[in-house]
Amino acid sequence: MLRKLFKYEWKAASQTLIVLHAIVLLFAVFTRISFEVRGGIEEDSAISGLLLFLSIMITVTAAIFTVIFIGYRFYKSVFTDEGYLTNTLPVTPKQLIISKGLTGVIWQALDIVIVFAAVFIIVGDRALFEELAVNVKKTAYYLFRGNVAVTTWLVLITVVLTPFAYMLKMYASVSLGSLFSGHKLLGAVGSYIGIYIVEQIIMFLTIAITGNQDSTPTTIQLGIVKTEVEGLQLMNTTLAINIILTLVIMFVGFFVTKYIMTKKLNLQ
Amino acid sequence: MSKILECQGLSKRYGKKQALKSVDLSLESGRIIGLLGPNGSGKTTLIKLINGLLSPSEGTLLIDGNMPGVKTKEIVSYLPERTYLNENQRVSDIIDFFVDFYADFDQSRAGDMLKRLSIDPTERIKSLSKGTREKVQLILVMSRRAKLYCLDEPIAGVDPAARDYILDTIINNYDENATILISTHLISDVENILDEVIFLKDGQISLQTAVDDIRVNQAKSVDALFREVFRC
Repeated sequence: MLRKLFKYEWKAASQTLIVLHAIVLLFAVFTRISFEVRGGIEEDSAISGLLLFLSIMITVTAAIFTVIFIGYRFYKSVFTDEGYLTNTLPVTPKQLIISKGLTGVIWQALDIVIVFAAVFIIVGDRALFEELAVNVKKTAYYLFRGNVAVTTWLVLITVVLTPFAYMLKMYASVSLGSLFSGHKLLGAVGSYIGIYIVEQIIMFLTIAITGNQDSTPTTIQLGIVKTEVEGLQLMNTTLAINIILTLVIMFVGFFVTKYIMTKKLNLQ
Repeated sequence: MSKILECQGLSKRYGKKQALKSVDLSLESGRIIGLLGPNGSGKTTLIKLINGLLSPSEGTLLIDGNMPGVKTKEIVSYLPERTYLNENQRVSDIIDFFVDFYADFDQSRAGDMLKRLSIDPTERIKSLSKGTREKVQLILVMSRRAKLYCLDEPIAGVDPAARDYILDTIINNYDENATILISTHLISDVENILDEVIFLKDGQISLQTAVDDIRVNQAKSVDALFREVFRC
């Protein structure tokens, strides 16, 4: 059933998001053509400037819209009239959360890929690709060697977990909003802000407690180049706390959403 | 006859408002049952509880021996009082969806009904009239070979000619061992197909009896008895 739910959720969500991201890429292509016609990005041109501005605006809007759209789809298919069908399917709330959440996470990842693609279309050249390749190699090096390996891994884990945490925070907010007798969407936004504030307070307090550490400089060596970095320990601690907090948010978000869908569903 | 539904002390509160008050109810298989009562009497609340769209405040509810959940949703076919269809979908998309999720969905039965009602499966839901959307939903619900059908106001939004068709559809498309629970306040339209009636008043059952009992013992129609019981 999970596979079937995912299939339909993917199809329904992608109809809008494919069109939106195609527009992002299309504008990137127009901007690049305009630059090429004018003789490069350094050349002044009102049209190129306008296209670049529009491209940036559309790309940013698409990224924000993707996240909000995924949250809204969850609200619409579970807590509005469509919920009369969604919640009477022979599936569990857990399967619904996973199928919708997975679609959301994949689309957040795709959005990042498409944003990168748009940047490359607009300003990409051989030098940029070469620089990117060097940076990817550097990151791979730091992952397995040297004394910043821990930091690099922590950053990587944070990057991977963030979209999952976003999804579950939104789903929990939408579910909490559904408990309001009226203005359910407003309730969802309020819940999201509430969760965000609590998250920030916990983060701030934890850093305040753990932040008073010995900040002995760490030596980082890449090939023959040696660099001394101060506060790496503190950064690792902050990243580790952030990961733990993100995991807690994911678990709490999942169980709050599941609990409300199972015990407190109130379609009126 | 086996019991398809059993409620004991079933209550539902919305804040301070008590929608259902300690309802004890038992429904047998193979019956067409009218759930009758004025607006706000608790009919829709009871149907939503059966379908797991609400959780009881107190009491128990068992469908074929199970609490509302995946197992009961496999055997209960529900027609809500409102349209749940995604407007951008085609009729054929939603049929495919039902085929995928409900093992008891009979696609050929759905196809026949769509044909009889001249509904084009390639039409998008948004291009259909309100009445036609309701017919599509009824076709979806009655094309399942379910054990319990819960129909909430199935004829409220359609014209009298369509009402006859809908009632024919209900009678001709359910298996003998299945139970149909129809909630409505349009009693005169449905009373000829009912085996049994439940009167709900202020969240409580005021009467549960066979329609023949009303006709023979009280020499009244269900409609006349309803008007008497619920006189304002």
